[in-house]
Amino acid sequence: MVLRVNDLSVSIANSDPPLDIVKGVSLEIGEGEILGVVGESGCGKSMTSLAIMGLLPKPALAQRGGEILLEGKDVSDLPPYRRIEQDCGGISMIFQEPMTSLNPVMRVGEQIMEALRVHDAGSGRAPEARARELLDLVHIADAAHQLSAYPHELSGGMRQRIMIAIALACNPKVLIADEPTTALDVTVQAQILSLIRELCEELSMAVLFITHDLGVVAQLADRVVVMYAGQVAETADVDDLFARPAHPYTHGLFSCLPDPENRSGYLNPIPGQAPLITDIGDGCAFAPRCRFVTAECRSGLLPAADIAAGHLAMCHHPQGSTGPNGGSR
Amino acid sequence: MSGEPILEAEGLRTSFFVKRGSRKFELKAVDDVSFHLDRGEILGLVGETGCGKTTVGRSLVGLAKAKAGTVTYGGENILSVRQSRLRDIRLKIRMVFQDPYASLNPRRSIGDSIAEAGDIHNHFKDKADRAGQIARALENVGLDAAYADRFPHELSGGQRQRVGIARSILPEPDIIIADEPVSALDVSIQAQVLNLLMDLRKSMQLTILFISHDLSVVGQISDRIAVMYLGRIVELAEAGELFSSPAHPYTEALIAAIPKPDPSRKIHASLARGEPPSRLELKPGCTYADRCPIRQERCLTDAPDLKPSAGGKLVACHFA
Repeated sequence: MVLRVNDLSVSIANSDPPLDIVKGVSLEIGEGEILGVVGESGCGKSMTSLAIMGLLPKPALAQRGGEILLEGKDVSDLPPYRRIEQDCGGISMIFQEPMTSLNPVMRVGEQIMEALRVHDAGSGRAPEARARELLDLVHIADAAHQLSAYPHELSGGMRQRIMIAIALACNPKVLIADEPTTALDVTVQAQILSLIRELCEELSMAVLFITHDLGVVAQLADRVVVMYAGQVAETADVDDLFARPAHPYTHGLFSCLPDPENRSGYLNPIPGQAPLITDIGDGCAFAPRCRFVTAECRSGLLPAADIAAGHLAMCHHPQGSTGPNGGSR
Repeated sequence: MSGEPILEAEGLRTSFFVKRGSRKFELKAVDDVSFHLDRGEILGLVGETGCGKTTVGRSLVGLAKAKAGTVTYGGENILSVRQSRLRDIRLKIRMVFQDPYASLNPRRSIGDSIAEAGDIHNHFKDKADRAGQIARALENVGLDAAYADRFPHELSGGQRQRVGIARSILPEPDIIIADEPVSALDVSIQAQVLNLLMDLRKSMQLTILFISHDLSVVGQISDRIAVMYLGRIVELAEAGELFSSPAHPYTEALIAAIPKPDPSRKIHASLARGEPPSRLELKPGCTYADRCPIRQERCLTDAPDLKPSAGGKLVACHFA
């Protein structure tokens, strides 16, 4: 495994008792693998990725416990720039809105080369040659012309490709992508997703892909972690998860997806709404919205129910096989 | 559906003027758009960022000034009536906006926000009538009447959008123009709001123009769907028909690009090449020609009109 996260907790600094935004999250990604992390707003998926990158907003939030192992080495105490560097593994990250990540008054070629210089890409014309190579990798034709463009002259999809090129400048072993296509139109999203899949395979990177969109996860990821209220609800191989969702929350998510190809009129929403972190007590955070809730759900530790090899659901009442591809919904 | 048109837009054109350096460009946000709404139907209007779908919705009620075209409602052309009459019409054609955070005044109680339009138009007989109508509107959207005394910050995103809907249904309108009403919401909440809109359509005999960038949401809720690209409607068809046999290459690309929650259908690069061109310097011919996989010579010079095609569809393509 290239990246392994064990029992990661992120909490609001100086809260007593600690208020956990991310609670006991464990995950792992291998070489050439895409791990999708899916969940709704505020479920802690972005904070998990920021913690891995060392970019938690200080001083409001802090990693309270757990390990972040990059090729076996704990990087929890390293600053972000050391995590990017090669000798300690190399993590890189791309974000949702490329326009806010790029410098608006600097040509994009200059921004790519800035990243290259940090990673010591040689002198003279070497960085420029490498920058052209990177543009090739992200399928930007006409490199000479594009390198001298300013971000505002590029389309949304082009900007995200530039961001990916910058992220690749350090030859990362791990690429974290936090909702990289959410700001893009669907036809452009499809182009960027297939680019990420291609790069993952070509460069044997481990990709942590964060999204709220189950459709994107299904088409892109190899394995999936479903998060709810700061915790992992279910983790499985992508085919297994969509064929046999076991956690009632995962079930609920599937049944409220619109399905225009066989329209059945009404959807089956999950009742209620996600809890505030101050309201999460003992026991299962999903209990107040769950159809299968019993007394034992409301207190104590949740069991990790083993559904199949590599398929875990944190639930007292994991469900049988009625997924979107496994029969009735 | 009854098939009786309640609102008809004909040849709608709306432009904005944009300055780039010393030059002034005309941005044709809506370029010759015609469609009608049948009483009691939900018409989905779908398209990507900047295609003009929002401007169509705003032009219908005069929030954006159309420079040409007519919008016929109740026998009159909304675009040429007097301001006072337009205000009355706006009680019958109501908008629901995307961002429930931005569209509610944080310093007004929910009840006051819901009643605002009614207050302005002297819609209420007395205080008791006003309170009663607020309570009814809240209950219609599945909120307790006690919410009238709360403030927006006390509500979740889904609840705020319910308030946004309550505000628009209070004067018992005929038509609701819902502009991306679920885009800011999580899927589990989105499903609740979609169900609510379908319920209201039935219980209040509403006609809804449902504007969204999300084809799967539009497909779920709409009876008919109009697909827009760069200011024009490129295809208009019954919803099932649109998904089973899309006729315009853009519709086809849009459907293919929806990420399906099915791992056996892996991601493939989009059918549409590249990205939409700049809206400021549109070339002659079909606006989609640059990205179209079946483009011919003729598409570069000759813009196709929206015309009837197989299966009762309207399609703007030379090869449909």
